[in-house]
Amino acid sequence: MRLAELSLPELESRLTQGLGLVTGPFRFHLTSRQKRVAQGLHALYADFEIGTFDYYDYHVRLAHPAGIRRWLRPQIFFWLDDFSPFKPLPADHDFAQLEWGMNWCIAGHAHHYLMLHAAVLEKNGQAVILPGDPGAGKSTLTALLALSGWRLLSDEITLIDRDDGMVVPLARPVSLKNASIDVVRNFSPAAVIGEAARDTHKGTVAHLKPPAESVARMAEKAMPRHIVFPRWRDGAAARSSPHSKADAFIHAASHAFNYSLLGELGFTLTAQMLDCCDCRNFEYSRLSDALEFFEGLVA
Amino acid sequence: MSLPSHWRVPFHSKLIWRRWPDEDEYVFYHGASGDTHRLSELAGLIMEQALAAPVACATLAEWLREQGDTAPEATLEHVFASLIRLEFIEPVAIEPGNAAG
Repeated sequence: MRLAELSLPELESRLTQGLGLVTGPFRFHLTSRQKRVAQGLHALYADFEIGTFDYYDYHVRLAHPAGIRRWLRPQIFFWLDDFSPFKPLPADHDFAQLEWGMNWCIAGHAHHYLMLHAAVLEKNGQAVILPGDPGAGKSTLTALLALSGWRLLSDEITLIDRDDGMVVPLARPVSLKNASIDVVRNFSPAAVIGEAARDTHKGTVAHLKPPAESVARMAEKAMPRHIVFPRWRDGAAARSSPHSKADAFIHAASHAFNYSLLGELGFTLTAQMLDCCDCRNFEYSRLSDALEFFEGLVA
Repeated sequence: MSLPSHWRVPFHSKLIWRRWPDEDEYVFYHGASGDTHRLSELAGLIMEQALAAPVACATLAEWLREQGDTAPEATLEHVFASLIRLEFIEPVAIEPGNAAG
């Protein structure tokens, strides 16, 4: 059953008891009494499979602390089982807190994958990995490509299957920050963007609903073929140049969530990925140039 | 400073590496430390040889000289210092008549 089949009141009710939600290879059991969380899920996870399952990878809940902070400048805690990894946030950041918490659950525990800190999209059977440093415009680019017919595999965590080296889809809402929210809204007025959480530690944050097709094809892995290091620079002419694989290796390894933990397997998987990929830098300022460049990559 | 004449990979090191076509750098994984390092072309070539058999400084110096290096001993000192720091190589005593290279 898809989440969209529940009305918002039904979803709110289910969430108080616990809702099973499938995101890629993971099953979350979500519990929350927060109206905003139900609204966020209803808007952004409409195409995702929900249900009651035999097991869950992660039991998470959002809950107010006991005491006065339940009412006075209310706060919200994220819990995984009986562990709360973060300091409480203002209650109106609850949906963003859930997204960050879900990422934390995966990044901290799913060590049966190599997990790179990178966005990844697919077209024509070719997965394009976007490592990008903070501020490089990775999420904006990911959102624009996803809204332009590319299959979103992940905007934050690239999962590499340790058996075959393929990218395992984990399409979830794309996290947009500050100016990129309006960039994406202007690019595609029909895009579904959730309520913005303001004054978070990342500034203003809002999430973009992943394309329905990306969610529907979540079981379909993709072979990595390109690694692109994007860099948005105001006024820059579009320019692409080769990026050394040795450097891409070190970047991927140092930004991975669990490269060191996997030891020799982490090296082997990263090396195999680079064997299959060409690596490029791409600097741009105009979105149309970026779209043209990426289309050309997978033509 | 004069370098020991022969070097080898320590027995406890589990080193695996990759070098891609048209690139002049290597990436090495050091199983003993769990660290990954990017090595220059020369350091990588030395390690490739050292993984096969102990390497002789004299042979390497001669090869560098043929490549146009006018101060091969200094070059090797610099490279070996880095490799020693990474615990990628160690000096080895070679019996006369048993020397590689």
